[in-house]
Amino acid sequence: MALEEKLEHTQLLISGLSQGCVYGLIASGFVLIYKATEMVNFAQGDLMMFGAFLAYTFISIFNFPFALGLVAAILAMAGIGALIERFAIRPMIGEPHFSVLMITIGLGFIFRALAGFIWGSEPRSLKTPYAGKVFEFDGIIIGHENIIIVLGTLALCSALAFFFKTTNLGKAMQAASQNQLAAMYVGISVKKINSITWAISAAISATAGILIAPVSLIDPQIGFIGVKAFAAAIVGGFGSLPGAIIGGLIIGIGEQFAGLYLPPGFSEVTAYAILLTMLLIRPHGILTSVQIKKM
Amino acid sequence: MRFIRKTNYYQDIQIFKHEGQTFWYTCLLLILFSFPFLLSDFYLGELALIFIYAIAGIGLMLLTGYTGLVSLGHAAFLGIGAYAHAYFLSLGIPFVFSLSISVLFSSLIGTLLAIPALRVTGIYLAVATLAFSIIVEQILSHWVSVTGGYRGMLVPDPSIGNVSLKSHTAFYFICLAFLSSSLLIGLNILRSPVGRAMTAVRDSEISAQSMGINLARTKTIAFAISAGFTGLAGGLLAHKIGYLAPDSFNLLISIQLLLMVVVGGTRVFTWSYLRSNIHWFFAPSLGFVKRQPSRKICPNPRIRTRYIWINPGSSPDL
Repeated sequence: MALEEKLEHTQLLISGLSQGCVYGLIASGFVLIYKATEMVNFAQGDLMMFGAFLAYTFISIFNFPFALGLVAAILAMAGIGALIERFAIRPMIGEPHFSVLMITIGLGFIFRALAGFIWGSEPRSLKTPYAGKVFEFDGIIIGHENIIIVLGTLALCSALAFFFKTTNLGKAMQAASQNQLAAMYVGISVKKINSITWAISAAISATAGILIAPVSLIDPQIGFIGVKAFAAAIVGGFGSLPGAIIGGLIIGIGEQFAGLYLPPGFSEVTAYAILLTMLLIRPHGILTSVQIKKM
Repeated sequence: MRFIRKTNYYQDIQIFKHEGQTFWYTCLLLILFSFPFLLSDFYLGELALIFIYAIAGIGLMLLTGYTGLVSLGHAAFLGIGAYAHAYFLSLGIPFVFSLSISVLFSSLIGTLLAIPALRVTGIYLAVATLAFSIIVEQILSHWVSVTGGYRGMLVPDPSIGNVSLKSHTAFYFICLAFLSSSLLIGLNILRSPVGRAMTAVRDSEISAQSMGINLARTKTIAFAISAGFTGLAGGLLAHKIGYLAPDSFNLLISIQLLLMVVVGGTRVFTWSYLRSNIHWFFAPSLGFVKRQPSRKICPNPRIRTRYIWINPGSSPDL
């Protein structure tokens, strides 16, 4: 009995971990944009959905090899992200943040409608070379897709860390996120940085979408997990990339265990319950890097 | 543009600033009174719906436009009001009492929401309220003994004493009466010390505090009042839709409420934002009435987005 329980817990921990990684990835998309431009992109979840659909189109319809389709989808999403920044967000510089928020909500609607229009609303599954295979280890069954999600997240995070620590562009982005005016004075093109930030953020969301595609099917509504990811970003401390991942993991794992121990319906609200509790205890999240502005 | 010669400080807080306003608002009221004799039942129903959303809009306006607290979760209060009213009615409590209890109940929940919400501002607040509304939606779906869960809940017909208010005309007048009194109450709150404290908090928390305004108290009151109005709208909406299901109070409704307020102009109170609701439903036909072409708005996300591009000042600062 005790052993079975332990197995069950491990199993839940693993699926929570992989789900949490996806939340964390989308959350880091939020955080990147927020840090660079102080704008909140509510369409992040819908960008993820769109990225997953693009990958589906490239791989299952155009019959690209898996890796090529993956790269193509991620690059295409990066392009879309940059376009959004150029044509929807840049005209809004200097306007109230709330207006930008509303615009991104509107963009989310547009993406959802567009996806429904192009691909229809029935769920699609992305063909991957690793779906359906499992590892069996001491009675614990781990799907390959879960491992791929965790590994993919790790790889992406280390790539981001490397990018921000060592490359000139990464350093310029950090400078711009700390103080746009000062960054402009030392010769950094803040406009270009903003475009690149949106491109990277959209690319990360697309990656998250592709990673989660084998676990949950793709349909235009999956973008709504963006709301949970947003909760993750706040739990982790808005404005901190490692915080976003930690917040995602907390919510992902919390959700799985709430599904086991609490009556039905509770696993749906766990993310938000964690969020509200967090706001009560520590309003600025676990890893705080947001400076409070005096108005 | 009319310039008013002010000879008295009380002129600043009068509801009607000059005789012209008094005249036109009286005309508007007369026109609204004449509608049941001119329009078919369908349009009366639509108008009643607009009135109901306008009441919810007043609630959100007080919170978002005047206190500066953005809520992405007001559909929850709509839901709480609707379910509470339907539940109390089904217990046999008369219409008026049931509606009042639902309003009080909704206010109470609003006060409770203020406890976590007070600690955060701006976008955090928007998300905290969003989280709240999703939790409420789940409670509505799973508290089967009260709400009927996913099966939904039938709303008893409205009646006062033995007089049934089921007909479109009667319901139209009920909604009109509630809307007018809500507007009066809302305007009176705004010119009271509490209302002016709310505006001060919106403009600058620090200077409001240094003038001796208790931030926590003011914000909590704003939440309570706002939730109360929205709960009232919810109670009326329950009769309008007749059948409650948990998913009729989702995030999209919250966003729509917020857009209604934002598009109408968060700082314009009175009937003028009722106008935005009217646009909402009859946008193309009424567009020519207004001087500003950008106010032609219809429930289309693309156009909403456009609208904010054109007129960013209409949304509240965060």
